[in-house]
Amino acid sequence: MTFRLLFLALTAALPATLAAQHGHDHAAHAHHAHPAQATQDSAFAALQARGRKAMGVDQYTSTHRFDALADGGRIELQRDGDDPEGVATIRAHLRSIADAFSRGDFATPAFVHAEQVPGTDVMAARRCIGRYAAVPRRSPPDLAGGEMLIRKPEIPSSEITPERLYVDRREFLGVSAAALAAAAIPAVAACDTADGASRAAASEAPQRDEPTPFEDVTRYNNFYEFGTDKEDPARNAPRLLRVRPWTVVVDGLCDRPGRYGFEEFVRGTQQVDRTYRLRCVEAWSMVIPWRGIPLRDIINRARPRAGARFVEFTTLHDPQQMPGQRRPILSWPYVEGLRMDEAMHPLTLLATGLYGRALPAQNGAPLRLVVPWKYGFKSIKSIVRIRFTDTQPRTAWNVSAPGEYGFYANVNPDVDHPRWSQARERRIGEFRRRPTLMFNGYTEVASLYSGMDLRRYY
Amino acid sequence: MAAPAAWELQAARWVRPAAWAGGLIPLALLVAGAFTGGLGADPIEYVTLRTGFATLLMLMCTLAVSPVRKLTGWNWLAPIRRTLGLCAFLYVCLHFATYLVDQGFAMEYIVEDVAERPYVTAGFTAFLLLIPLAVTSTRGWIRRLGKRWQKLHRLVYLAAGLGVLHFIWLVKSDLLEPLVFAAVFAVLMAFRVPGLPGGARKRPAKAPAATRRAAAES
Repeated sequence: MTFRLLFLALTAALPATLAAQHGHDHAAHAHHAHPAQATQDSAFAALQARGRKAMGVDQYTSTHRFDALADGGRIELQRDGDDPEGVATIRAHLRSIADAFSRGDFATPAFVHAEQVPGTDVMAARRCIGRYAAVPRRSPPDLAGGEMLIRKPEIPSSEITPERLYVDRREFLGVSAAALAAAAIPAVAACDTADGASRAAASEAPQRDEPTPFEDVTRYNNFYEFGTDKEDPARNAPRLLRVRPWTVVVDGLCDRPGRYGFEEFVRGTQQVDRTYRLRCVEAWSMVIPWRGIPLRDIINRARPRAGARFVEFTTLHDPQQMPGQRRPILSWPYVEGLRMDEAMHPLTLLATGLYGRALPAQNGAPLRLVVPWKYGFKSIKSIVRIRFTDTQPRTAWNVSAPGEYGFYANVNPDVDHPRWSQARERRIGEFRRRPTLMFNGYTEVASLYSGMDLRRYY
Repeated sequence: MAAPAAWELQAARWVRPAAWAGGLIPLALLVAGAFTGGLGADPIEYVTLRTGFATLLMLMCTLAVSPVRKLTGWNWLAPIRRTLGLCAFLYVCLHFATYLVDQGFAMEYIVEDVAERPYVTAGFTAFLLLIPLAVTSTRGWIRRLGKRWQKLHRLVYLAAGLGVLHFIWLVKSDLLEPLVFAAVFAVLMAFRVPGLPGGARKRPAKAPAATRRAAAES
């Protein structure tokens, strides 16, 4: 609570500083500088100059938005009009600021405003964490840019590392902020067992996230194209699926569509290793060390147009290779989709491997999606097409049973599947069920859904 | 009724042990799997699926005994109806026990499941219905209940129907297996409809005694 007030003080201070120097009317939590008025004010011009230097972007033509969140705050910076370079600059700036905040460096706001901005010293003392996420183009208004989340640290400050390292390490060490948070909620922890002693133990010790053994990851799969039994894909996919040559089509509402061979598709991209929890809608879960390309790198390469609001993915359709497609179990080919901001989120991965090797056929070779905060069926396998679209894709499970599988499919222990509970899950290899975490523990994505009724948009 | 042939007298001797042996094959496979790591990555789920499948299989075999007897006149099959029925009960008990383990014996979740999830409600009801049938399967109870025994044991139709419904309602999208069970169940029930070929007929005077004897023998 105190923290929220401090954040409000900081965010209010930014427009207030501008207002004082500029004498210009502001909306409570957003300001949009008008060049005609602003240029007459030398103090504001000086601020602009410093801002340009620190931020690399002109405040005359960009929009700031400040939101206070339950656990911190959010700063969104957007660029007017059609200016990809400006958007890129904004994003780079926010990313560097987020990194700086995470390192404990809160000097940039002071530089822009030529004075210590109220609140930054508190953030520094509290060792607040900055997290960056790109904000996709929104229309209307036709804006794009980035956002930075400022959150009070939920892990010991000694654990704070730059974002990428932070994500990976946190997953490997199993020191999940959300797991800790969940463990702190007695109601959730109490679900684990009726036994009093172990209930107490469960609420004290954070749940461990050890990677699931390679053997289990590669023999327990839902890949109905190769059969509906869990072990069918491991039995059938390796001998039936031809992953070379493999063609991926990128098309739809983008400036750089393309048709790539697999090697060509991954050429020039940066491969990252990410260990994520995978939570299946059937209430089991795994921890898988993936290797892959952040999806946003692929999206940025394709240069989506203003109207692109969704990304649609399609699996190979070839009943010769995929015997499951000979029966109408689902409407083939399998289709999945993400909203643009979900697709651009740094956690979203196009996986090309696991456990340091090429993706096994049964896990969706050669290219699959991994969206760790959503149920596993969103993470479509063996992708042959990535299409930018302005309408919500008709996703396979949603079409098959709209009352059971939503488009969003965010992991949510509070919204049960109509036929089974989602409150708990069994980690493969473990005996006892554990409580399921909101967004599968990836609470940093919560802001993507602020204001949405997650019971309705399940 | 013609006197039983010599081979039928032979068959009558080994048919019950054979039914036990056959009925316990699914259990033997599970036990073998447990010792060889053959239960897969999620043993609890695997055992749940296998015991559920075995229950339905045994129920269908149980329901098939009487029609086969009627169609072939092989009355020496009669004793295996109870054997197979008890196998079905064994598997449903294992199935339910696995479910309890799966839920960590957490009553609040189990009660919620039974009350709110139709497929669990159907399966649980079928389980409850089978309990009195297993209890009254002994010779003593058959004697004590007399005519009411047969009436009571018609509950197996309801239990099997609910079991099939339970299977249909729980699968995600591939209905092939549950629908095969549904079709088999429908055919087996058709034999019980009076007037249909092979259906229940008006009993000839001798039949009740024969049936009772057959039941008593088992």
